[in-house]
Amino acid sequence: MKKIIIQPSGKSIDCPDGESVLSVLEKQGYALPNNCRAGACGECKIKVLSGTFDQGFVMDMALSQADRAAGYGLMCMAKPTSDVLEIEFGTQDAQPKLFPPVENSWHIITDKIQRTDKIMELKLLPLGKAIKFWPGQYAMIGEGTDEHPLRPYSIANAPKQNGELSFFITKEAEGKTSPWIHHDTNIGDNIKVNAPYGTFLGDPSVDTPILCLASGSGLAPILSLLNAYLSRGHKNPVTLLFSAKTKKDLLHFGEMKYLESKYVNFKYKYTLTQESNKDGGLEGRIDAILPDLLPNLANYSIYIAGSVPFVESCKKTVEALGAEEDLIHMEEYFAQQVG
Amino acid sequence: MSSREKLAGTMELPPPTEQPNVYPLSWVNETMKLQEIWDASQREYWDPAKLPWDTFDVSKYTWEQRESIAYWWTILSVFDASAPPVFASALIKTYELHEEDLVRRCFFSVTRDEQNHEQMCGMAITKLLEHPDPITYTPKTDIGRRLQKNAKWLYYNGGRYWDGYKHAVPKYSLAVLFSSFLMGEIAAATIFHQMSAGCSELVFKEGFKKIGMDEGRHMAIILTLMERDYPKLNDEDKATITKQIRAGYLFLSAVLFEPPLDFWDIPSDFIDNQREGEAFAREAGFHIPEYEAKKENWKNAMLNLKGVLDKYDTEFPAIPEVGITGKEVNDIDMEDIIPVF
Repeated sequence: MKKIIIQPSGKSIDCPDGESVLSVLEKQGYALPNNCRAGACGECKIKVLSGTFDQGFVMDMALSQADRAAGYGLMCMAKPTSDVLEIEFGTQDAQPKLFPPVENSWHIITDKIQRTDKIMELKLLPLGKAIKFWPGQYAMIGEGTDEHPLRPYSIANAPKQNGELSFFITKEAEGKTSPWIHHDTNIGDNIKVNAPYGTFLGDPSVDTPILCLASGSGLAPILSLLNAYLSRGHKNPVTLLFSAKTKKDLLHFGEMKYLESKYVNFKYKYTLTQESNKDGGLEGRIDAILPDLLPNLANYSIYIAGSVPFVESCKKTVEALGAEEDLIHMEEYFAQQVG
Repeated sequence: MSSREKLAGTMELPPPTEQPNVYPLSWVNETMKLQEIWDASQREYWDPAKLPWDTFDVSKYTWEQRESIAYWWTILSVFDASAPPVFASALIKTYELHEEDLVRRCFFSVTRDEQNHEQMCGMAITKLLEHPDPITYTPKTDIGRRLQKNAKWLYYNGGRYWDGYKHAVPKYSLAVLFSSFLMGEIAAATIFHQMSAGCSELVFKEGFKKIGMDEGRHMAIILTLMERDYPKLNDEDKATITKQIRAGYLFLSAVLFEPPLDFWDIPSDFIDNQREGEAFAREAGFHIPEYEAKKENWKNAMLNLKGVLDKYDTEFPAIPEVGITGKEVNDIDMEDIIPVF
């Protein structure tokens, strides 16, 4: 078995004999851009840093002589011939490339669970192929009509083998799609999904403490990220601080407590903004309580998801506590988008 | 035997269907590389109507510029807008030859993609001229009138070539036709790459990018089929291909370089009118390469093709116009070649 090492992250991937680098990367979930898959378009051109490979026959216009001399190769046709092939792909933090979105993927509604007064959890299973996505990405759901247009909803679970997708659907009284999902769709109905989209991604190999801040259905992408981080054995401290108006709005409280019990490095904190927290928990907005909870956020990876004012306020707060700009990731929900 | 004679009452099983015919149908697949290309074609399919046409404000251009840019699209349309019937004919041939299911599907994808490219030509010309074709349009400027004369001659030549193509398709094997298609695809990829890189108008830039990606896949289809069939080529087919490449150079020079006057039936002021029009288009940010750059690009495209044919031990013709040496091919008779679009 040969190895492909992707740099600058240093991640190592096994490469069975006779397989192209492109197909091996794809099987590991890395979507390297490609088009013709036969050495004619040049979309999959990347730099080979060390090792040897059989390039096969490719067109000069897709890989010029100058490209070849500079060490580039077309991965759709390249097969490693040395034990290790080191290629330049992705970023320092091994941020994955995105999967190409799939349109009109038929799913069946397997469950609808009213989680709070306004938020319902929608669970779907694919009737065909499972959609590949990265934790933190979203899907477009709706009928694609003027009455019920496609709207973006973050996927609330980590990728599962059976292709299950779950979403938190906030009912917007003035919206078109969310009331339709709440009232007019039924368990057992078929529904079309376009996905995945978005770049609010977690990097499974990140080596920093993690702080997640969420409110309302902003918990969805955070939940997806958390499950991915924790289940893959992330060892640094992971803290989720969830902001809710009242205790009734504590979304997935039970699952949060379960994760806290199962993973010693995970801490679940919640704060109530319109009700006193008699159970000895936190009260008040995140900007007021976070400085006492985590006074120094230097070197923290931070994920913030919720309404626009919530995200903006949290960003200011974490910056004031020393968070570094390039480690802050934000997902803002616009009312018209969640309609 | 009358075609209306009933055989079912006289025979248990029908006689074999006379070939070539699309029947009997089968779904054999052996060249699995084509499955990946077919999948990519499904994934990458796009809609010209969804390009950012709302950003394309033709009123910012002068009428000279509009007519000149529309003229470039007209030249392109001689080749790209005729491609749907060109590949549809080839698609029918793949059925009649009982080609693999994947080969048929891939030729269908090329036909479908080319339909998009044809639409793109039509939408650009219609928006620029506020008229749906360049021939019945009433030009508004002197250069517009001269370019329309050019356009009429281009379409006249195109019509002759289409007749030639219809006669050639049944005559040649798919392997020989591939050399003609590959030539067209290499030319197209060259044009769209250079136009996408240099154009400032967003809708054109986006369109060129999409079309360039389509052409990459088309090339991959042809290369895959050549890999399958070219090792088995006989000497007669090889000689035809060499001649075909020389003919392809002469056809496609009209869009990639300048139409050779001794091959194309065009008036003596054609080239001057075209160069003047190109200057107006360039002034408007429509990036048509200058003479020397065109020559260099076309030369490199031909060298790419040479690389493919060398691999299959097939002689490359001399292309003295761009300084490529090879087998001298002087007798280009329309009866013996396949027009290249």
